[in-house]
Amino acid sequence: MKKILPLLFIFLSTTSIAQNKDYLLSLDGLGTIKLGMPFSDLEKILKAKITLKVIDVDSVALTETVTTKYKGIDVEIDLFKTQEYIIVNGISASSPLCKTKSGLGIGSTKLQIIAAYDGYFIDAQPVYEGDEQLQKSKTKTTVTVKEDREGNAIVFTLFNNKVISFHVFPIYDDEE
Amino acid sequence: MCSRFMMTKNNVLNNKLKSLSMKKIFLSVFIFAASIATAQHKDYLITMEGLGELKFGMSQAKVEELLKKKIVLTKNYLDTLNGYFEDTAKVIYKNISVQLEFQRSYNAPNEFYMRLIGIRAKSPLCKTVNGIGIGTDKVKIIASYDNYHIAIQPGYYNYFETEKGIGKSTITILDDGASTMDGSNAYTMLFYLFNNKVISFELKAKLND
Repeated sequence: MKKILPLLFIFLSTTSIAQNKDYLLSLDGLGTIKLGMPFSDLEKILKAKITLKVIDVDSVALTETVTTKYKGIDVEIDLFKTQEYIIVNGISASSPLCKTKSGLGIGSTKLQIIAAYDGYFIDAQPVYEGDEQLQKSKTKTTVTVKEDREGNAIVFTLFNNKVISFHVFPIYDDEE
Repeated sequence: MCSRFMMTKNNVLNNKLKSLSMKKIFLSVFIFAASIATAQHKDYLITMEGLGELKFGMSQAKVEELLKKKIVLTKNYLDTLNGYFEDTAKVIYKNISVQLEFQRSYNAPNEFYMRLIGIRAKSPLCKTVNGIGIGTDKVKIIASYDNYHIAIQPGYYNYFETEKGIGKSTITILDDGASTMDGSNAYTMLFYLFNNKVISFELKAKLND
């Protein structure tokens, strides 16, 4: 019995660490899905064939977003067609399993994000809504975290100061 | 006996009067001091639209009138073909040093004046209505401008260049115009921090003609 308990503990800890890595949110991506990885590698990770309905049909279209399952959670993946091949260009999710190394995830607050990313480029702004006259939302906010002025970013979407979803993708100055 | 009683009564009355007049003096001194403090506070009040009486959009002439001093701009702004569009000047405003930034503004194709679009200072007298000023902590700024667009970055953001260094950071507060860039006047407040404490600030405006 004494031997079984430590083994069980080791087994559970290893499983938990592996799960943690699967859902680790970083500026590089989510778990084993990395920004910039070829589409073919993505299919291998997902162990599924993804049918492209835009990029493969319309020769002019360069982007497409697909909804799929990754390790049991729903994810949205942005794809971008480069001259050579299709790459992963963005990942969105809203699963509470996904967390950053410092434990940020669904339910985290704006101040927690700012405190966790000290020394980074952070942009915390209310969402402006409306087609003609923009109105500042009192409940919706986004917090963008970047390592530099340009490059990969995590955009956390907050409702009443709590994270409800996130999006990892590259941002360049002319897109902001 | 009666006169002694009257004298004691008079003394009590005199003491009461003295105490009352003392109270009146204290009250007047307090009101006077408070009004001076309020006036001073208003002189150095940091807002999106300026610092105290220095308001964005003021012409150079108006600022000179306020400062009771001529401002010397050096970058040959009168040369509309080759000269600079903007210029700065270091001046004394209500006994504190400030750097003012002016921009050429046109009334007609060949008729222009210089107007105030930037103020930079580091005096501890300057504070926002929430008490944010030199020495304020990063978290207090973020909490005070909760519903504003806030940008935080390492280093000191300075005229499109960043001065890097350990402990240096800039917090920018953007109003709706600056955040949405919808074409309306845009105002920003920049707080320069060292080890997460404000050491100086800059107010900027992007004004329509």
